[in-house]
Amino acid sequence: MTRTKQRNLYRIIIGVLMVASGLVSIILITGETVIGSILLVAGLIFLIRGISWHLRDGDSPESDERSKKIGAYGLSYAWLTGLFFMFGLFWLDYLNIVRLGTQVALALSIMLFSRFQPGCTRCTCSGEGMLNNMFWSVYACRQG
Amino acid sequence: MQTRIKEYRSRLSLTQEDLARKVGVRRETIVFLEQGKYNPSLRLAHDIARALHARIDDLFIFEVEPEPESPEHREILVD
Repeated sequence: MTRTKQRNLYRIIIGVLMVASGLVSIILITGETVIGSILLVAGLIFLIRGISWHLRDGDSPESDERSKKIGAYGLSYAWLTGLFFMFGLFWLDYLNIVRLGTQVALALSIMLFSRFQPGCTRCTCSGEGMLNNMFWSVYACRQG
Repeated sequence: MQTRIKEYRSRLSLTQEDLARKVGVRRETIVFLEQGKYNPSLRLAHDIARALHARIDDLFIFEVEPEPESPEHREILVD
């Protein structure tokens, strides 16, 4: 079994385990659904990623020298995206165009850094994307 | 940069997928290489040349403008 296939298999196994434990905790722990929801969402993301990448890539490597070069190029400019975003947020708040609380500003920053950074070439299913989805699932659960 | 990867690959009846697997890269990289849109590392160029039973300079053609000959250079050539 190639390394790519093996990694996708691990993702699928982790996904199944997380979904199962999420469902069990939702059913067994009455009243508290946050942990169960987080496990369920994260598990589904792992599952979808594992299956879709396996179908898409098969035996071919996930990355090679070209994709690594693109990633490195993107990462070298990621700080600039962050800087422009922070700059925009500051002036929007300062000029009272948008009233941002600390929580919203931080949440938007997390979203930007974990999903929309140029270095993240495969955003929706990457590690950063997973972190982002987990963050939003927790955030949504907390907001009720 | 121009490449003759496609020509050599066709001679060996290899698909882009086959060549990509042989040299350990994604198929997209072979596509970009064949279109001359990607400069490979020396290692990858070497691996591709080996896989296609060719030399690196047979596969990759760089268009270099001829340098104007300096008097010193001419002297060296004459010697």
